[in-house]
Amino acid sequence: MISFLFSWYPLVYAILLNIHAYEINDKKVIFDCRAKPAFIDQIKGIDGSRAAISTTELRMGGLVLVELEYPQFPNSKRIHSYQHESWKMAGNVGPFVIDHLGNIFIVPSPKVNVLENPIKDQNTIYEVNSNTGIMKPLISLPYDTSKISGNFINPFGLIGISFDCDDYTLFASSVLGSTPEKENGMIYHLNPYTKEVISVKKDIDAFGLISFQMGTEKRLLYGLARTGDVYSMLINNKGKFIGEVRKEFSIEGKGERGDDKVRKFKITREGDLEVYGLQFYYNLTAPTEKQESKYVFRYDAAIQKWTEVK
Amino acid sequence: MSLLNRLNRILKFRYCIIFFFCCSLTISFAQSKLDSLLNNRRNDIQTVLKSGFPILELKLTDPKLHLAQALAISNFQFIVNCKTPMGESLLNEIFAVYPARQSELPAGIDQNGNIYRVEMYNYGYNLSSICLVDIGENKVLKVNTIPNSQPDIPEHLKILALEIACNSAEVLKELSYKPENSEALMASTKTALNRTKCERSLHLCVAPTFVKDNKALWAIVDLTDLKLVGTRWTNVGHSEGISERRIQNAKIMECYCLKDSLYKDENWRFKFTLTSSDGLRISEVYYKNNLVINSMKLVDWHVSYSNSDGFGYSDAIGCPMFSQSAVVAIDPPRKIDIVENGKKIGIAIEQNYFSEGWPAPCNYNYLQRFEFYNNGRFRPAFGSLGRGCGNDGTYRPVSRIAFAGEQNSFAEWDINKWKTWQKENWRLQDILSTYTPEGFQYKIYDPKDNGYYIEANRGQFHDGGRGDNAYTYVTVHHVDKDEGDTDLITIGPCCNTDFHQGPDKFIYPDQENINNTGLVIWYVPQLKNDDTSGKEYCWAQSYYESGVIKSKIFPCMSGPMFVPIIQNH
Repeated sequence: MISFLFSWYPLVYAILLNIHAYEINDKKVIFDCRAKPAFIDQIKGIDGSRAAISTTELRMGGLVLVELEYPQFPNSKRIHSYQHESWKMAGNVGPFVIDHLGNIFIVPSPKVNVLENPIKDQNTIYEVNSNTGIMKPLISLPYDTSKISGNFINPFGLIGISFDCDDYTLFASSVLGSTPEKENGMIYHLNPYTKEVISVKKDIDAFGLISFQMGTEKRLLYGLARTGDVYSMLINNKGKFIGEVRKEFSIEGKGERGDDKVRKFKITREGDLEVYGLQFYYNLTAPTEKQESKYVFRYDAAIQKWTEVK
Repeated sequence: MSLLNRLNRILKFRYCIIFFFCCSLTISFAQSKLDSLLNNRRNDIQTVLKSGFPILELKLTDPKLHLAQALAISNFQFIVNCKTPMGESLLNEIFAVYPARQSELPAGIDQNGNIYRVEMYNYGYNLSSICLVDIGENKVLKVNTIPNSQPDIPEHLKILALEIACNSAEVLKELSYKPENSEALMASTKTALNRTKCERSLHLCVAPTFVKDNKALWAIVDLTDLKLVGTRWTNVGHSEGISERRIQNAKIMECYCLKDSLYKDENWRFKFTLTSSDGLRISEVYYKNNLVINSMKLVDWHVSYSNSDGFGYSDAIGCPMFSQSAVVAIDPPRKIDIVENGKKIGIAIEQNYFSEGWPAPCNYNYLQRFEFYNNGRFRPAFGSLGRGCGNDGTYRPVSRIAFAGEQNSFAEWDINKWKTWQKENWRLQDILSTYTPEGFQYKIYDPKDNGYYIEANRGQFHDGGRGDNAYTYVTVHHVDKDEGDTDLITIGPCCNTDFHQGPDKFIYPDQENINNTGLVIWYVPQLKNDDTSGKEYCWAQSYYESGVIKSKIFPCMSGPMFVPIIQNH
């Protein structure tokens, strides 16, 4: 477990052109297919080789392109920064993914307050086009509007997103309308190019999520937003969620805080699973950076068991 | 009643007396044992802190272990964190000394029988230092420091934690009996104490756990402050960890967020509840059985920093979970007697809100305090306890007071007479403001001239406040339109320095008539912080006391006093 200070949503500075893959059962599994957004090199005054996409610039809000003094250090001095006029349309923003064409898919996320993030807009995925750099709403994911009234409505909607390099689809998790008593969250599987919602799983509050090849099965791993547990469900060859959910492992009690929830997953070159956890209680955060910890787990398909890699 | 029955009853009564006598003797004995342990502990701490070498050593009889400990604590690298850079002593304690396991040795070093591991905990910095020593060679092999971590606690601290837990009133109340120390065993873990986290205080905490029927009672004990933090029941086998943060959040949510509480005395009666984003809301306030206030609450905290145009935060305060608050309640509301000249003259309800990391920069702590006096006066007060993102900050808390009654009017003192407002409006308290000889700036009243004078805060309330320089807004209370009766989301941005603090949106563009109608008063003080030594205001700073970090606060309290008109006739 490695701990470090981390912004609520990270900078992505390793924008890569090459595709990374590993093999399971002679099948090539692509785990990272991000392409560099083409618009970055068209912005005057920003050195594209030092550029990073930030969602946590204290005084700007929205999406910001920053040029870092030391690209390997996301919190290093900003040499220049750039914000297209459309990049504030989603209010404060949270996690994002970049597809194989360099398009950015990003979700809104209230930070210190909800002034720029009205609850009704928190289930919309936005897209920043790779070529034009313009942000537009991609799709407003369906939800039950009756769930967003009352006293203890949490301010969040979409809180997790991942891109499947295998079939170029998106997974997204939302906790819109979830209350202390009831999980009203949903997990969505969608095609961002046709805007078709392929499958929906209701009444689950999931946070980070990722598709993962487990032996012969492709499953969606997701961290729960209320505990440190990680669950999975089967994805069939049509992209539908099927079968019962099952518990895979947990980060409950682990790390410096012991009450981390899984915000994000990342598959390493070796096929291990990096799990990023932080504190989350469905409320907003003070302006300081949040502590985040990284845990690494390895799946042994032969015995169908996860072990933590220290 | 037969003689036999009477005899039986007498005997039962006697047995009861003997039983209670024995029980109270046992509890009293246990309490004195705890007191003795705590006194000894505190004495040991004070002695070692005064010694200039602030390390509590383990009392070891084995000469090898003793040598290992001595080697470790004579190593500069091992003890480098024992004092602050300013030379203040921090409390440190050796938790363990034992022959190192092979798995604990660095690559290339084999256990030759002489390598020992020494573990030390630093209470001030909440860090562990690990030292590997070779007592054969009389040298230190390796020192490692791990921030935000605690080694396993030694036996004497386990005993102390168990005594604190078993003698706490809260544990007794939850279990309905006084547990024995040996009951704090978890069969599944074969350990007396569950390790647990005190994420907020960053203190050393453990959780003795008591199993009763199919449930487990977790009692979190803070071994830095030597007190019980709280308790929590779980089902046996429950996978969710119990920690300080979870216990605090659950208690606040269950007891104060999801239901109303009632306060009642011979003068006042009201409900209070913690909201999602409007702080503690006091509602249905009766004074001597007359409804005087529909509700009072604190909608927003606007914090702007003058050296950085447009930079600041608009914070909501409220419940710690499922809320739009960034600064949250972690302790329950407190009821405090207001005493003057030794006589109770009223009561106050206080609630703090806290962002984790406070008092570190860019973290906040706010206080809401509602004062209710026996003579009918009341005061909704609020203050910042710092520390924020800079020493050039101005805090603008936005409070809302909805008065009872549907025939109210509002007037301000204008040099020498009351001048009634005809329309919804706002006013800034500044050097041109005028006050009655009693210090009243406004009044809200009904057709019979019942109501309240509003005494402006000019620093006369003996709470350290220096005056409010406040914006006061008056709007119509609409029964058919929600303008803040329910939870309000953030209503204004951080950094407007004029009257655009949020309530203005209920005034403009169509200013309504406010004569003989239900009224809402919005009150927005402007509190400038200060970190100048000796003049600190809206500020907090850390300091060291008894070897651990404490916070010193410099509140900036604000809020007007509402004085019943009838009282002054």
